[in-house]
Amino acid sequence: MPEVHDYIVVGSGCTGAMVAQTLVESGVRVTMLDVGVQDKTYKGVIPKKDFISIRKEENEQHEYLLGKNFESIPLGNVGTGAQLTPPRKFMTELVEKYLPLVSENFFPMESLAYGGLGNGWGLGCCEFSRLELEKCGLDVLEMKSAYKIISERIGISGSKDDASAYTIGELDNVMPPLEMNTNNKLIFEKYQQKKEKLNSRGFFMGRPALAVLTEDKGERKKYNYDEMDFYSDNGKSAYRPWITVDELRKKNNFNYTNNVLVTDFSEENNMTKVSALNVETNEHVSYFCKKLILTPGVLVTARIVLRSFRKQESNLPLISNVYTYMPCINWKMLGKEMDEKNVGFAQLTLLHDANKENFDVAMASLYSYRSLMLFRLLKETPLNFRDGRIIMNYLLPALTILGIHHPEQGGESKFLKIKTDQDSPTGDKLIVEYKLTKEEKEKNNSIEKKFIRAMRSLGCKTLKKVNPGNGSSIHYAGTLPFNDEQKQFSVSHSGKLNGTKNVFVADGSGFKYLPAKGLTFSLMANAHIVAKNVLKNE
Amino acid sequence: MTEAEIFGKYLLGNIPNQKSVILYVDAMNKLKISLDKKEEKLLQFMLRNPNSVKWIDSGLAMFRKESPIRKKLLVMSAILETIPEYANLFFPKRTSIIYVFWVGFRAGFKAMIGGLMIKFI
Repeated sequence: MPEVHDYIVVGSGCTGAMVAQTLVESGVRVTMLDVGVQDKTYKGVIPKKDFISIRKEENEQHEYLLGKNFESIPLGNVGTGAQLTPPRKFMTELVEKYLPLVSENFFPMESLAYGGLGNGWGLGCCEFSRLELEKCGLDVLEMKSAYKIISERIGISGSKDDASAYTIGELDNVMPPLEMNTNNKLIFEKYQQKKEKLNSRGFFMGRPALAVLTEDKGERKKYNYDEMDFYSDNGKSAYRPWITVDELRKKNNFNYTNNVLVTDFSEENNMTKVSALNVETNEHVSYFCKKLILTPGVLVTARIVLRSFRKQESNLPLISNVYTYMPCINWKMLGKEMDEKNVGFAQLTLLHDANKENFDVAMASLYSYRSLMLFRLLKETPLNFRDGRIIMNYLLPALTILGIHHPEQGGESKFLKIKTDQDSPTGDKLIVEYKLTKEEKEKNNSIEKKFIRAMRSLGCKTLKKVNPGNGSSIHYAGTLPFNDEQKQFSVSHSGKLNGTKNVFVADGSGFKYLPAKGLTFSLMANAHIVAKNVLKNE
Repeated sequence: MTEAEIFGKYLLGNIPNQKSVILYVDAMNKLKISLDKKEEKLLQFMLRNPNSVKWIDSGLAMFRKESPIRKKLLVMSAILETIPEYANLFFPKRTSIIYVFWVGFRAGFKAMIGGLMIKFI
């Protein structure tokens, strides 16, 4: 008789970690199946110093700043994941081989890493509003309570200000925010002066809520402003899901198995057979369990479900926030020195809530630029490299990157399906079509123009607008929309995959709408709720 | 002078240290930036006439942004940025706005001349 696992969780990203934690804390036995790629190249190579000291003192810095194969020098166009530094590149390792995807208009980032896409998460934590939760198909009361639990687990810093209704919401266990640099302080001061006018135009500004510690929490240390955010996880001050999985691995009722790519499942006699591929040996392997919880990320879950239901011809809907970024210059900072202390994470958030209903809000995050280095900027300027360096050195302290996410819902031209592909180790590939309607494009454009005007009011000149393409937000949802009527290719509100007895989906597959606020915090809250429902379904 | 030394000298004002040259050669071996005939001719002209690099880079930046020669220069610039000896050149610093305007004007002028050069070489 093969071993029968009580609970199998697929994937170790933000949702997998939260499901596993909830299950393990309830005392049941949990097995996590994961490909679990880890960084073997740069781990331990990066000195525990701040960015400026490294730049001035470390002779081998090119290894981790540019990559041992110079892979971080951007020779092509800016696309999804352009911000991935060499020590974060492992996040997308093996993806091309095991998760082939073909699309002319959708360029997602997927991960088979230990900790999944959570390794590169920007750490923004936003509670969805009541209206947003309802449109997503989520239970408002359950989610509000789950937000508190997740915030306690991961540690969130933020503040009560004009943005807090959109970010920390009703959370009361929030640490003080990170310190702002002078550039952002000046923008925020300007906002305070022009607040009335901006508010009347639907704009609200404040500090973002981030899953980064400003006070020690257990073994995790408060943020030390080393500005190495894009390179390492010093002191574990920024939350990454591997921190949770590492902790769980110390418990007797948790078992972690890596090198396993789950491909499909089947159910028989109250037992679920999980089929997988061992990525080390390329052998097909099987596991048996009483309950299966899928959390490998929306696109991987879609592949698993389509294969399992043997419905290759079916199209599944897809939602992904549209993302645009704009480099801006804060006039007041021109000619000033850049602060020694800096933060790579978002320092301010600017929200556009036209109807002041906390619904269909567009959200922008403001970032300073330094630790991603000058060469990435120089490539984008129409100037020769030598003069460009002098000009960019002058502009850098005044440079703010405004990253705008738009709210998004499904549509007829936004779908995915799988197609047979004998060259793929899984025998298939994902085909994605993602086209915005003319109205959607116009709406987003009009909102972006409003942001440009708002930034002008805040003393900032927008230099250009860059749209890295559909899928670049790395926010994906809606492939198996919530539905309680047992419709195929949907999940019930408990998280159970309709048409199955013991298979649950705890990632964003069920979300029917994507607010612009960043979904990771809500994904984790929903994952916790699904885990509770799995336990109730005993 | 080698390609690395010529590009380094253009970017720094001085011949770069040995480490940057070695890294550049290593990067070229690994990145395999290929040039078509036209670009190869342009590159050879730059290597024979190191003083032309600033003009041609300016022209390419303005009129042929995706040129493989620009990619080579980007690689050298990125390498120099990671050499502690040159770190300060790549950090923000106080500069007079008049000087910055002058540099901008100069860059524009170089782009015009460079634009003509890349057309006729």
